[in-house]
Amino acid sequence: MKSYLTKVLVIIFLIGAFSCSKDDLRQYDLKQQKDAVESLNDPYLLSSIIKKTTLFYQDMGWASTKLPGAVQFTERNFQGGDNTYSAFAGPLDDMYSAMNILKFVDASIKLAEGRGSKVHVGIFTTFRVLLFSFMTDMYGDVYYSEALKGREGILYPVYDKQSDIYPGLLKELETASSNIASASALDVISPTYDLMFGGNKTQWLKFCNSLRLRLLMHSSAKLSDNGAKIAALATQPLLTEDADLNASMAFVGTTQQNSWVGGPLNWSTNGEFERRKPCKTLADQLTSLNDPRATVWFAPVEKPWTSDPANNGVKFVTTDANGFTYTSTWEYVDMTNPKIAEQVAAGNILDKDKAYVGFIAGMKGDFKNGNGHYDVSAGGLYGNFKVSEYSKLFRQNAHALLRAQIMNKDEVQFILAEAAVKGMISGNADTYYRKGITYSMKRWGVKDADIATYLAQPAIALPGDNAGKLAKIATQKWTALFTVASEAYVELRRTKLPNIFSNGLLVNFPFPNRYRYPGGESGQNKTAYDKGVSTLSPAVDNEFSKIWLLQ
Amino acid sequence: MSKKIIRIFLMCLFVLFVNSVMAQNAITGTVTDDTGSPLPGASVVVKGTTHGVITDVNGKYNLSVPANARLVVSFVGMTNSEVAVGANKTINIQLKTSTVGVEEVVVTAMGITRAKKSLAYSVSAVKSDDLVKGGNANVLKSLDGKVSGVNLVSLSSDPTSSVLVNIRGTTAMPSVGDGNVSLKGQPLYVIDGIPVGNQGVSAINGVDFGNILSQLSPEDIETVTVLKGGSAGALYGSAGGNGVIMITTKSGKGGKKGLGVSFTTAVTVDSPYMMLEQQQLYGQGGRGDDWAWDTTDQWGPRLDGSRTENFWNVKTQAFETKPMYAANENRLDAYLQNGSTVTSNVNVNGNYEKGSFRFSLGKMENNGVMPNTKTNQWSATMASEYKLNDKIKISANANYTRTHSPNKANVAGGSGILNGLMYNMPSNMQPLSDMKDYWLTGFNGVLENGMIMQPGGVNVKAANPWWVTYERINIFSRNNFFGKLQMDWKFNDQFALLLRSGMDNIQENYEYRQSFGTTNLANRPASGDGAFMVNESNSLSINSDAILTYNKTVNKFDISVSGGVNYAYGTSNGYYVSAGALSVPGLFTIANVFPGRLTANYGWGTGPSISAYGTADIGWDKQVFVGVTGRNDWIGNLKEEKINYFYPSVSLSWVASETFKLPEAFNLVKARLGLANVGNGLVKQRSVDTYTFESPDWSGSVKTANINASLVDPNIKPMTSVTKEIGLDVWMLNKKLAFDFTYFIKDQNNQLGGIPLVQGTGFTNMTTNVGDVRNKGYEWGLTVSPVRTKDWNWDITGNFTHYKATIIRLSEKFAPAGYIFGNYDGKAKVKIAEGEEIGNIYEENPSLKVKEGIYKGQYLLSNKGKIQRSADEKDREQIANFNPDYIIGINTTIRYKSFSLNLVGSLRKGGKYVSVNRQYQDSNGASFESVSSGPDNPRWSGGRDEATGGHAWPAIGASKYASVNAYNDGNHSDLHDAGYAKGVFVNPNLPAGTIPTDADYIVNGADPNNTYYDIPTDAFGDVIWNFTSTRAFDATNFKLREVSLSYNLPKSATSALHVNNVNVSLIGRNVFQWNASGRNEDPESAFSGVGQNQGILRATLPPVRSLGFKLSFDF
Repeated sequence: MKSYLTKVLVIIFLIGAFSCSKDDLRQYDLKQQKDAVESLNDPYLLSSIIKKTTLFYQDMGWASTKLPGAVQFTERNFQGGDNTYSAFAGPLDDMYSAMNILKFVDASIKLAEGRGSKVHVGIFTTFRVLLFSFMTDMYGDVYYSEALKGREGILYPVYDKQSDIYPGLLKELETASSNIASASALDVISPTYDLMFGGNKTQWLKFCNSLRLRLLMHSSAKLSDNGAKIAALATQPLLTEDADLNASMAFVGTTQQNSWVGGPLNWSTNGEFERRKPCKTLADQLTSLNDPRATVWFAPVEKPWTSDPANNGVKFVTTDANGFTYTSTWEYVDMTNPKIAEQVAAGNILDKDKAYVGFIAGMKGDFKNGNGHYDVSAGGLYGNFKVSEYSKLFRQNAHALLRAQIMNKDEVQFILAEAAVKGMISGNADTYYRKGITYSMKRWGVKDADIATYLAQPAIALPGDNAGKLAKIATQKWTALFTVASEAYVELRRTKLPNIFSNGLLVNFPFPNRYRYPGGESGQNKTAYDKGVSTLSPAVDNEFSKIWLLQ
Repeated sequence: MSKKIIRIFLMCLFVLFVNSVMAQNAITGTVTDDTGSPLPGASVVVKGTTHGVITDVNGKYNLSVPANARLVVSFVGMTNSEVAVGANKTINIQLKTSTVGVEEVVVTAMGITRAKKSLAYSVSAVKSDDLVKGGNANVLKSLDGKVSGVNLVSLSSDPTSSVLVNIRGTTAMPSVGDGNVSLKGQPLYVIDGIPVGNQGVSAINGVDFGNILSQLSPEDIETVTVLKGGSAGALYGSAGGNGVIMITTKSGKGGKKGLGVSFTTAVTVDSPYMMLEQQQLYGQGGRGDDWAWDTTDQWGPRLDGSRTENFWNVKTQAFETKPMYAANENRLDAYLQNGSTVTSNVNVNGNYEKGSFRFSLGKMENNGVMPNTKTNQWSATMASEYKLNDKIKISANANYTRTHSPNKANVAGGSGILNGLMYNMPSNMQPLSDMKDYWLTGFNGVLENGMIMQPGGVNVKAANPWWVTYERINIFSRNNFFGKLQMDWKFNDQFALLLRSGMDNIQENYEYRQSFGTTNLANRPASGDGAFMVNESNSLSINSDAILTYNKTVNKFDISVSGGVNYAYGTSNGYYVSAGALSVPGLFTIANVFPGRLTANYGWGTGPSISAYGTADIGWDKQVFVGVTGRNDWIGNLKEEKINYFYPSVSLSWVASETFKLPEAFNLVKARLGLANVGNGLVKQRSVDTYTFESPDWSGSVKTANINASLVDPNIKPMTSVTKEIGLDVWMLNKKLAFDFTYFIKDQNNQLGGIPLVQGTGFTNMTTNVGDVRNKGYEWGLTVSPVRTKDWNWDITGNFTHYKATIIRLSEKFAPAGYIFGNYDGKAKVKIAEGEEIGNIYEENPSLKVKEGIYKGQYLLSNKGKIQRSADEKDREQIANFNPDYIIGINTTIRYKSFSLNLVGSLRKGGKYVSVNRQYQDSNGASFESVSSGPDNPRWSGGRDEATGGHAWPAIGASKYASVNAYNDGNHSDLHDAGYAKGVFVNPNLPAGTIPTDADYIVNGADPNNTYYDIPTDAFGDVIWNFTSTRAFDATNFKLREVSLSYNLPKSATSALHVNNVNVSLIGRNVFQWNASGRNEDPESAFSGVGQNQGILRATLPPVRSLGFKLSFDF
C-alpha cells in the first residue's frame, strides 16, 4: 500500500504541475497592454484626424456623386439619380460619418488637454468645428452640446437649434485660435505627422481663422454682428498670402486607402470613371471664357461633332498641361446617315465643333444618347464618344494637383470679395476676386501667363452694380470649388448664384435645401428628432424644408 | 485508388498475422427463452469483442472462441447472460425475460455514471452502432435524425463541412450588430470527461474547414450522450448552459482476454444533385442596357441568334463576331463532379488481468464534388487502463487527429466560385468545357484567359472559373491532440477518489495562394498581382479535476455524494502574415510581397478558471430520487476582472411503477422534474476608449489610428439561465414500446449584449443586460418493436422536437420605442422587442402603404410610380421565421435473418429561408422571374419583351397627367418593353397638402395611359430590392439521410479465412430530398457565408448524395 501511495503522490504532483503555472497567465503583460491602448500621442492623433477629416470631406466633394451632381459639376452617365437630386429624397446617414470622426476628435482633445498641449487642442477643435458645421449646414438642428456624451450618461441627447450651434461653433473657433496663437514655443507639432501644414503653427492659425471666416459668411444673413466680426477677422492672419498652403492633404498613392478615389487602386477598371462626365454647366462656363482649367480637368471628346464635312475623320492629338495625351477624331454631322439625322431631329446634338463638351444637367432616360451619341454598341456600356470624360489626371492614384481638400486659399479670397462688395470690409472686391481666380488657377497648375491672359478678358471684369459683382464672384467661386462640392452646395444654396437651377433638364426638379435626417433618428431618438423637425420651415423632414440659415 | 487497396490489403495481412497466433475453440449450443423455446436471432458474443454470431432459426449457434473466453448472450427484452466457456464444447443458454432494462446506466456530467432510471432529466445517447451504420465520416452529421431535442444544421452538403448544433433551440438574444443567435447557442463538448469547449464554425477567408469535432473518427466512439440542458449540464456551469454533448471513446476494457483486431472500411461516391437553374432566354447585358461586353449581368438581348456581337472566345483566345445563342448548360452541373469518400479504421484491443488497451488508426480521404478540392484525415487513438491493485486504477487516453486539405474552395459567399457560376455567368457564355485552358497561350502563370476579356485581350473583365479553381488555393491543416490521465482510487465501499487531468491542443495552419492573372497588365507595375497569406494558430487547454465520491445505502436510502474541484487553464496565440499582392508571379513567399502590401498581426490570450462543485443524489426505496448540484466558478485573469458565480440545480424523479402495482405490461413509469440555475461568465470589463493603429499605414513614415469606443453599463449584472423541465418515461411490454416525453421552459435572464444606442451618444451600443428570452418546447422519443419473430425483427424509433423562443423582457434602457431592428443578412432585419419570437426576420425596407379607405394596404407609389420607403418602422413587414415548427427524426431497422435494412429520415416542418441565390439571380437577370412577372412575384407586371409579358410604351404625351407623361417620356426606351410596380399613386393634380381620399388614388396599371412605367430592370428591380419576401421560401423538407442494407456473412463462409463477423453493407446518405418549395436548394444549408446567419441561403453546394459500401470484419 505504501509503495502505491508514493506513486499516487507522484501522479498528483504531475497533475498539479500540469495545471498551475502562474507565469503562463501573463498578468503583467495583460495589464500593461490594456493600459497602453487607452492613450495615444499627439502626432498620431493629428495625422489620424487630418486623414479622416480630409478624406471624408473629399468623399463629399468628389467620390460620392450626390453633391457634385447637385451643384452640376458631375453628371453620371448611368443609373443612380444623382443628376436629379434623388439621393436627397431619402434619409441620409452622412451625419453619422461625421460623428464617427468627431468621436475621435473629442477623445483627442481630452488627451491633448491632459498633456497640456494648447496647440493640439486648438487644431483638434478646429476640426471639431468643421465637422459640426458640416452637420448643421446639411441637416439644420443637430447633436451638439449633448453630442457624444454616452459615457457621461446622456443616452438620449437632444439636438441643439442651429441658431445656437452657429454662435457656439464661432465661439469655439475663437478659443481655438487663441489656443494656437498663445501656445508656447515648446509646444511643437510633428512636421512628419502634420499631413496638412508640415508642423507650421502659423498656417494652422490661419486655417482656423479662415474657417471662422467661412462660417461667419455662411451665417451672415442671420447673425447681425457677423459683418463686424468679419471686418475684425480680415485683419487677423488668414490663408491669403502667396506662400500660404491650402488646408488640404496630399495622397501617397501606394495603397487603396492612401490614393485618390479615381485612381486604379480604387477603381481597377474604367467603368466608374467613364460613367462620370463633366456637367455641361461647368464645361460651358469654362469654355465660354477660354478657361485654361478646362484642359486640366477635362479630356477632349473622343469623336467630336464637326459641321465641316472636310474635317470628317480627321484625327487630332491633344497633350494637356500635365502631359496626358488624347486622340480625337472629328465626325461630320452627316444628315445622310439616318441614325445621325434622327439625333439631329430629336435636338440631341447640343455641342459641335468643340473639343470640351459636358453632359447636360439632369440627364436621365436614354442617357447614352447624350449629345447625339448614336453609335451605342460601339461605345460600350459607359462610353460616350460625344461628351468629354474627366482628364486622365483624375485617373491617377496620386498627383501633385490632386489633394484631399477642406478649404483652399481661393475660397478665402472670394469670401473677402463678397464681404467687400457688401461693405463689411474695406478692401477692393476686384482685387480679392482676381486673387481668388489666380489662386484657383495656380492650384491647378495653370501658368502665370495664361492666368494673365484669362484675367485680361473683358468678360472677367466685375461690372459696376453690386448684384452683377456678386453674381460674377459667385460664379468664379463656384468654379473654384470644383472638387470641393460640399462647400459649393452650401454656397449655391445660400447665394442662389450662379443661377443654374433650371439648367438642362432640371426644370421640374426643385433644388434641395437640406438633407433628411438619418433613418434611425425617428425611431431611436424620436424626441430629439421631433424637436429638430419642428424648427424647420415648414416643419417637415424633407429636402425642401428650410433650415434656420435659409429662413 | 489502387494504392489504397494495396494499403488496405497490407493492413489485413497484419491483422491476419496477429490473429493466427491465438488459440481457438469451436463451441456450439442452443439459446432458448424462459419457456424453453429456441430463440432465433439472439446474439452470442465473446465478451469484450465484437466477435460473435446470431443464432439461427432453431436458436443454434456455432462460434470459435479463444481459450478462457466468456460468452455474452443477449436478445431484446431478455436479460443478458454471461457464461464462462472453460473446457465446454457445447453450451446451451436459457435467457430470462428481463423485467425491464432499468439497470441501464448512462454517463452523466463530469463522467459520473448513473442508473438511467434514477435520472430526473432527459438524456439521449447514441451508440456506436448507430453512429457508424451509415458510414458517415462526420460524427456530428451522423447524429442527425437520431436524437430528440437537437437541431443540426450543416453549413453545406460537403461531407466534411461544419455543423451547427442547437440543443432545444437557442435562447440567445439577437443584437443589433449580431443577429446570429444560432452560433451563440452552441453546446459544450466533452470528450472522455475533458471539456473541449464550445465549437463554433471554423472558417478562414470564407472557407469552411469543418468543426474540430467533425475530425473525430466515428469508429472510435463508444457513445455520444446529449445532456439537454438545465439540471443535466448544471455541473459544467455556464459553459454547459446550452447543453452538453459528451463523447465517450472506445476503450479496450471489458473485452475478452488477449488481443483482438477489427477492421472497417467504407467507400462512397458523392454526387451532387438538385442544381439551381438559370434562365437561358436572354443573354449578357447590363441593367437598363443593351448588350455590353463588360458585364456579367443577363439583361441583354434574346438568345435566338438574331443578335450578332463581338465576343471573346475563350477556346480560340480571340475576339469573334458571332450570333448570340444560349449555351443551354447548367453551370453547376457542368462544373461539379462526383466526389468520393473513403474511410478505413483498424483497431487492436487488448484485455488482460491487470488492464486493457485499445489502439486504433483511422483514415478518411474525401475528394470533393468541387474540382480540385480534397480533404484527408488521419487519426490515431490509444486508450489504456492499468489496475495497480484492487483499489487503484490508472487510465490514459491519447488521441491525435490530423486534417489536411491541399485545397478547399470557398463555397459560401461572395468570392466563392459557386457565386460566379450561379449568377455571374450569362447563358451565352461558352460551355465550361471550352474554358479549360485558363492561361493565355504563351503566358502560363502570368496572364489569365478570362471568361470575359477586355478589348485587346490581355486584361480580364470576368475570371475564368477554372482559373479560380486551380489558381486560388486554400491550403489547410489542423493537428489536434487531446488526451487525459486519470486515477480512480476506491478507498473502501463508501469512498472513492478520482483524479483527472486532460488537455486539448489544436494547431491550425492556413495558406492562401492566388496566382497572377486578375490585375490589369497596365496596373501591375503599380499594384502587383496575386496574393499570399499565412495564418497559424495554436490553442491549448488543460483541465484538471479531483472528485471525491461517497456512496452509502442506509435502510431504504441510497445516498451518493460527490464533491470536486476543477482547475482549467487555456492559452492561445495566432498570427497571420498577408501579402496582399506579390511582386513576381509564381513565388508564394512573404519576401515576394509587393511593396506596401504587407500586413501582419499576432495575438494571444490566456485565462484560468477555478471551480468547486458538488452533487448529492438521494434515492428512496428505488422510487424517488432527488438530485442536488452546485457549482461555483471563479473566473477572470486580472484582479480587476475577477468575479465568481454559484450555479445550483435540483431535480426530482419518481418511478411510479415501483410505488404502485401497475399492470404487467408496464415495465417502468417514471415522472421527472428538474430545476437548474446557471450563471454566465461575465468578466468585469473596463469602459474605456482604446486606440488601434490602422493598417496599412498612411505612408511609410506616418501612422494613423482608430478609436474603439466601448461603453459598458456600470450597473451590469451577470446573466442567468433557469431551466425547468418535467418529463415522463414509460417502458412497456418488455421495452417493445418505450416512450419518453419532456416539456421544458428555459429562461435566459439578464442576457448580456449590446443595446443599440442613439448614434448621438458617440457609441453604437452599450454592453448591458439586454433582457430575457424564454424558450419553451417539448420533445418526445418513441421506440417500437412491432415484430420480433424467428426470422424477422423490426424496430422503429422516432423523435420529435419543437421549441419556440420569445423575448419576454427588454432592458428599460432600451430605445423608448421599445423595439429596434437589428441588421440581418440578405437585406433582412431582426426585431428586438418584447413578445418577439426568436428567428423572425423582417423586410429591410418599411414600405409606404395606403392607411385608410378602399385601397388600404395597397403600396402607395411615388409620383414616379416607385414603391416608397416609409419613415414609420411599423410599416416594416415580417418575412418569416427561420426556425422549424418541428423536427421529426425516424430511424428504423428491419432485420431478416442475416440481412438488416436501416433507414434514417428526417422531416423539418415549417420555417422559411431567404434565398440570396434568388436575390443575385434576380438582380443580375439570371432568374426565371427576372424575365417576366408571374405568380412568384406578384408585385410588378411586365416582361423583357412582348413574348414574356412586357407592356408597350404609351405614346408620347398619352397621359392626362403631366407628371406621368414627364416620367414615361423620359424613361421611354426602344430597347425594352415596359413594366410597372403594382400599387396606387395619388392623383398628381391633387393640390399639395390635400389629404387624399379614395377618389384621389389611381391604380397603377389600371389604365395603360395613366401608368408610371419603367424598363423591366427598374420595375422588377424596385420590387425585388424592396421586398425580401419575394425570395423567402418554405423550408419544409424531408431527407432520407441514411440507408444501409447489411449482410452478415455466415460463419461457414468466413471461418476458412480466419475472419469473423464479416459484415457487408450497401450504404447511402442523403439519398433523397424533398423540398416543399420545389426549389433546387437545400434549405438546411441556409447560412449565408461561413457561420453566418441562419435562414439565409447563399451560394452553398447543392445536396450531395453518397452511395457506397462498407465492409467490416474482425479476428
